[in-house]
Amino acid sequence: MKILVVDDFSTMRRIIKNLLQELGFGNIQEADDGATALPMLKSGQFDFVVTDWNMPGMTGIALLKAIRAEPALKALPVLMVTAENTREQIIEAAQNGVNGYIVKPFTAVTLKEKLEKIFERLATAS
Amino acid sequence: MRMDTTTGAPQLPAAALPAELKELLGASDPGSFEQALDALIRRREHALFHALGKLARELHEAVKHLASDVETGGLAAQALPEARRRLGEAMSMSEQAAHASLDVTERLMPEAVRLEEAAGTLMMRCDGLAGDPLADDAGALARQAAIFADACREGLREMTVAQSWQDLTGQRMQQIGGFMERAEHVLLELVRLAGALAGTSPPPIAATPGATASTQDQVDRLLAEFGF
Repeated sequence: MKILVVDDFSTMRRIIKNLLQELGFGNIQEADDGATALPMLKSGQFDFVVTDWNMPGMTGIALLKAIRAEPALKALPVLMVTAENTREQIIEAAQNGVNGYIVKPFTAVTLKEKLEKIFERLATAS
Repeated sequence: MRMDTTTGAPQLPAAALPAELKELLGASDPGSFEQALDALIRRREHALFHALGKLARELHEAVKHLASDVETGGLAAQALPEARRRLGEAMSMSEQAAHASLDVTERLMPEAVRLEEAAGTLMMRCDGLAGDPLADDAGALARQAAIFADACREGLREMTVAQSWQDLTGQRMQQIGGFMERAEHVLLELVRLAGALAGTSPPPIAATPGATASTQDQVDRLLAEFGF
């Protein structure tokens, strides 16, 4: 499974990458905002996206909307990992088809649980 | 003058009326009525513009004083940029520290995995040699090593996640840095504005009615500088 981790902080990208590797995902690439991520997604045959919300340039929610608007990408699972936790933001992400939402700071267990839940739902749906 | 009695308003005695109103009411023809009305309006406008001019001058003085304080203290020119630079340094140092911790966890994690695997292999071999005292001891040690390696993996995972403090504090520092930058721009604009005003200090407002037109221009020009 090929995963793209999108976050403007290199520390957070590295943390998520390490945790995903610990969970057995080896093919992970990084982007520092939505504007960098989108062309990578369009050409890179990714299977999963983990993105932050608050990033300079293109935000995570804008990236989510762009993914859902792109016919070739609209089914791509997106997990949002963010410090943004207002009710309005969570609703906005849900309304735009986010597959999972993790609030920072999070634990490795939370990441594992959310990933498992997303894959379970995707398996049921297909 | 008769007031509108339908509203129940009281009638004013003619002696209580202002002179300009009496002049207006006493006009004998349309020409002198217009003239009296213009004079009345000019007087009212003059009072308003005079008040606005006074307000503008006071605001101008306040801006000048504040800008002078800002300049004297070097707040916009030195202190704020310096504070932002230091904040940026703190962010950079915290990022380096977090990466240094991640370097350690990334280096030790594979070691912990290898130790756990090797201990598991040795435990199985020792199990096949049950009764041999050396094998029993080696098996016990391998079990301890496996438990230790597992604890190490868990600890290293927690250490990795704990580095997310850098992301969270970094985001706050970025927000504060952004706010400071905006404040700096506003202060610099204030200094610039005060400098511009100091170069064209408002002329005194004439008190005589004949000078109303020029006073109005002066006030308008002054007010325009404040975005009126």
